Amino acid sequence: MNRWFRWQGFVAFLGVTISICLVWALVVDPVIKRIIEKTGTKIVGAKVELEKADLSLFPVGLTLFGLQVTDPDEPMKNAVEIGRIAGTADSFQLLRRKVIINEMSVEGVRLGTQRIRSGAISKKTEKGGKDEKKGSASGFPMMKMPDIQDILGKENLQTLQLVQSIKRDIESGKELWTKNIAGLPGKEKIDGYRKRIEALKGVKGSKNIGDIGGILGAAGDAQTLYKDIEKDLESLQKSQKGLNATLAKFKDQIAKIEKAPQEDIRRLSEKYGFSAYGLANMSRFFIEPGITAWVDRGLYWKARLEPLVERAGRKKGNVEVVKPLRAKGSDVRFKEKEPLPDLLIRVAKVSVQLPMGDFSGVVKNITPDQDILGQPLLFAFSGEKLSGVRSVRLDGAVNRVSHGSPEDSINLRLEGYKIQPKSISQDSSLPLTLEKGDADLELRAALSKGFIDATVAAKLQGVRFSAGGSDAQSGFGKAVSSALSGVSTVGIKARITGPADNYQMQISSNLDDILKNAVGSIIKDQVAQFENKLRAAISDKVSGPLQEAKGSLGGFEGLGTEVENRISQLTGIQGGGVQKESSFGGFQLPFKLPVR
Amino acid sequence: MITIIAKILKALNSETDPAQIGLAVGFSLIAGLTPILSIHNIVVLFLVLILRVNISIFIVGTGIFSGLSYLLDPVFHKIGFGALTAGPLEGLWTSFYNLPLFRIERFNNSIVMGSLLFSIALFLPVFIFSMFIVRRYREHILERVRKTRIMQMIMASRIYSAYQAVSGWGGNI
Repeated sequence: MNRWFRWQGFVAFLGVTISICLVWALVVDPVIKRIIEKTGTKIVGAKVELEKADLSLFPVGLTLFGLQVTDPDEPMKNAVEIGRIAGTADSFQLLRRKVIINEMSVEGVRLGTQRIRSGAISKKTEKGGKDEKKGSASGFPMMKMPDIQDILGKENLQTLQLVQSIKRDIESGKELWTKNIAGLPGKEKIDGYRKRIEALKGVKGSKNIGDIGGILGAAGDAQTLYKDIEKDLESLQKSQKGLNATLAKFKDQIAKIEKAPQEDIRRLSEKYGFSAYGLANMSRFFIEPGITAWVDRGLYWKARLEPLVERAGRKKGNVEVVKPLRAKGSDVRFKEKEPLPDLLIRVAKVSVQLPMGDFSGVVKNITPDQDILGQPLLFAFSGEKLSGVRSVRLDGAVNRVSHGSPEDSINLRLEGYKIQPKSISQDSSLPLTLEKGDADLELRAALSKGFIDATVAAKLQGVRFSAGGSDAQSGFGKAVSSALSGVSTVGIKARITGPADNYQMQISSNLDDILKNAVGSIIKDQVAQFENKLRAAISDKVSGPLQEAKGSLGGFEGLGTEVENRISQLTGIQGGGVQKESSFGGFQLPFKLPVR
Repeated sequence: MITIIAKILKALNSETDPAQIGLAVGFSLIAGLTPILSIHNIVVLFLVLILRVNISIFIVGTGIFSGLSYLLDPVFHKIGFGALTAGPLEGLWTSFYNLPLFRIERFNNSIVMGSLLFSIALFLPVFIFSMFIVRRYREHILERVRKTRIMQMIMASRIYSAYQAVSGWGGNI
């Protein structure tokens, strides 16, 4: 027995196990700190730092101190800084590798705090939803005529794309028809028919023609020849028809393309604000950039935090395969007797420190496995009698209960917000500032299956605008600043709809009419001028390639002539050489060939 | 490190049972190829300490196989994923999944499962092959190695001094 066992190994095993436990107890806090920093950095795309992590064993709990999440777009700023996060986990569930925290407190949350060191990571941060959607700064774009060549340089003209596309289609069509026509009866076959006719004519002089068998044989050959010619004629005529249809289709498309610049003009005029719509909705030029920035920022952070609310899992038979956030490989999840998410924070009490005061609330059901829990993440925050705001309420839901049908919603109600001086137009020649005012704002937004539907309603009272810059004293600028100086109440309604990556925004405001009355006639002239210049420039750019496309149609006409020529030769042979009810070149058969 | 090499040389050159060396290589295969912080590796450690397994060879083998495991991760993932998603085994895995011990083991991770299956499957062949190699070495190579010029040089070096030191310990640990 002792040959195989060494009983002192028990003691060694106990010693090793106790040593491992002691080392674990010593290093676990730094290890947790490192894991949180590494995983957080991976999710956010910028440095996530933690001052200290403290794991307690009785009861099992974790407290984090000084969490800083860098804003990936401003590495010298924290998107969020949290003073303390504390929670205790269910010990029994931990044995099932499930982290279930019934209540967590998140204290001292601050937004947009300054960092001492940059939080950028060397790997280039993916911009995600933060791309500029409209590509324009706030201000009145129609105030100055933009450089048309500059616009055409950076915009893709639909007309030009259509021309390139039809050129490619014509070339491939020509290639196809050249091949088709090469396969049709050509000179060799026609010469063959001629020879066969000559041979039949030779029968006429033969002495054997006199007997019935000879006559019937010659008649049979003539009938076969006639059928062969007719078959070829049919296939040539069919091809001619197809070729003509293709040619007509291309001509029709070219005619349509010739009208296409109008669509480009409309689109670019719209985009650069030189349109009837732009004239009727001038307020959007300084309202839209602000709303767009907020929407984009919201969508960007939503995308960043997506792994925390939904794990990218896929079904394989009855089991689900998920990619763990940290570990390698894939985790396969089987049916559980008591299904519970791997991570669940049932309630997180959050206290946010804003410059205007404390803003507190709760977040419920934080888990990446909402489908297992069967409940969405809910949040509700409120703040009363804050400095500069009478009341704020924010609530919403992030619903990933059903895979493939994500639904998010957010509602914000802000009352009595004292507006601080804010620039609403950054145009250097006519900077506009909203100096003061009281605002009530209501936002309702829903994002379902990637489609956004949001409404924003704002009422601003006691407002005062100021205009500066070189243009404020003359023409357009003077008219705008004069019109805005008489405004004391502003109502804004915005509706945002469409796919999250390409949403549309409709904005209306009482400022539209005020601005239209003030500067409408000036802008109308600008719009007409812009359209004319754009039309001329597009025409210049497109005319060359369009002429090339038209020129390449000539090749089709050549192919048509070739087919036409073959048809006429075969028709000639049919008419002159072999006739249904005629002799072979004057030789009269004693009966008639069957008429088809 | 020198002491460990000396211990390995001692184990190979002494009367240590080839089965003890074979077991050390087999256990190091499991400990090295599978994620080190797994429940089954506590069992492996227990067995290594309680059975007369050559610990020096186990330590060195674990190091070598750990390095190798990084290269084999894609293979382990495929094996583990295939086993975990195999229809006939679903009932077995589901019952394991509902037991806390197996959840701590993380058997449902493709790499844990793949590496464990791979190393268990190779345990017996590696055990037998190692015994065979040790026997062949002692029978045919040992004497010739001792007579080589390199070995003569080593025998004059620090490693050999360490080897001689451990030879005198008498134990088989």
